[in-house]
Amino acid sequence: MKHLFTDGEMIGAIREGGWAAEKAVKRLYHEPLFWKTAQYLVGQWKGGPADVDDLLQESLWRAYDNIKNGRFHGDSTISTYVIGIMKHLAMNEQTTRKRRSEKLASLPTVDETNPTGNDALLVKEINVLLEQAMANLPKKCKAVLNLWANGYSMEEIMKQLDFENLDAAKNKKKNCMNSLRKWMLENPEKAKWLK
Amino acid sequence: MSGFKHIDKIEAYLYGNTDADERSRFEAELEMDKSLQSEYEAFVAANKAVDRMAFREMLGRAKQNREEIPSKYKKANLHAIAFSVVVLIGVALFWLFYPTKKLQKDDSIPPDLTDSIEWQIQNPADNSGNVEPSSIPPTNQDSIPLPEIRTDQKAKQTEPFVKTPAIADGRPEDFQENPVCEKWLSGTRGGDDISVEVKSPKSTMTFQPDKTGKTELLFSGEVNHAGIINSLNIDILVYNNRATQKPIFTINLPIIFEGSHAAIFNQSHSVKFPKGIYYFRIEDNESGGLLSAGKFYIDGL
Repeated sequence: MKHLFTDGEMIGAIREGGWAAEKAVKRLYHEPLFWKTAQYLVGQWKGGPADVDDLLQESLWRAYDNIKNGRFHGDSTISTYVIGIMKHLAMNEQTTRKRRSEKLASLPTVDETNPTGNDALLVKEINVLLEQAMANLPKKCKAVLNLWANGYSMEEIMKQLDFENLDAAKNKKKNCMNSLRKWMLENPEKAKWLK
Repeated sequence: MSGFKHIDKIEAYLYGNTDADERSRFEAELEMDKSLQSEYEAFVAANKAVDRMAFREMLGRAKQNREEIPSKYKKANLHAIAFSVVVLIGVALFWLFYPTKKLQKDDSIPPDLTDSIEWQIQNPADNSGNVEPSSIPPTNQDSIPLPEIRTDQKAKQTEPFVKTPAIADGRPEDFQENPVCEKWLSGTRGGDDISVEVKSPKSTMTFQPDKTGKTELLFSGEVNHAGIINSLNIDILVYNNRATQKPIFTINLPIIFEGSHAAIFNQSHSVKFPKGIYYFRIEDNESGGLLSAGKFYIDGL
């Protein structure tokens, strides 16, 4: 009964977008090997469950983005690729944490009940920036952009979000993108983290 | 208007609407022109932010499943062994004492009960329970075998729709049956060990939109499994009669069995769909296997 994606199917589904990509991402997210690896790697710096989730989320995002945009060339399997990204991110994280903890060593107390509290993975910071960038967009803008990014055609977006006609949907998307671009232009330091 | 001076140039470059010469010219310009560079960076960041947002939401839906499911799986291990032993003993006892009743018509069934079953089959308009539409000729279709559907009193009380054949007062093309989707209704089901009995919507049911055009869809039924699992996720995918590749609406439902072999689900959603015929597939989220399928109408008012 189980249908396991082959790498080729996975790549095809991610590039197709929409529902196919959604299924592929679900499959990736539920891969036990990724969870075990993330748990192991986060365990190296005594991180918590939130860090495991962050590490997995960021690794999957990078893999997904590279697959979608043709930067994954199939030199390895997708699982090796994701785990490679995960290891790379974990190493960066460990290095950053080590530097931070050296600086913190001179401080008198550390809150041991929340060892990861102020020391979360970079993905948290990126998520905060993403929230800031999206904060000024109206709800409908987010919905349009979300569907568009997921590979839905403008006609489907028009129907799903009750636009009067195709031009109205297209204009909305254009204006929403321009608002977001304007924010990026005005906040170049933040924008560079989102690229 | 947007404050961007190079919008066309950047879009052409980013979306591949340039030839090789134009691309290299743009890249050279990008090196030299600071304002073009800033705008280009903003475009790339905005695109990436949108992609990231969409991915995050996609992952959020997958995450929802995981948070609700795996811990149950873990807990299931110890209980599952004990539970399976009890089931095995139960099955053994059943076969020991009732060796011939499963596959043969049982002569010892009281006549009144047999009568009652036949009566229900012969009265398709009756909605009081245990109706099996698979044996009833559909009123507005030709010879499409329908999936087996049962109702129970509890589900009946919450069903906010009227049982009438669809009256096509919307666009006629929206009420045309889709042959591909029709095959789902009689197709083989994906799982030997998991089955879904849909109680709502029943085939040929018509949901009525309210005055604002919104329709309250109700999906309810019973999921049964024969294995040792504590939970699973099902997807309810709703399609109109045109798009069979992409659902127009999706519901993900975690099903928790809590030691039982059956669990009910009951989900209502307010949607704004045009009048027409709609199909739905119920799939195992993990495998994508088809567990059940059906169709309904949105019409009236």
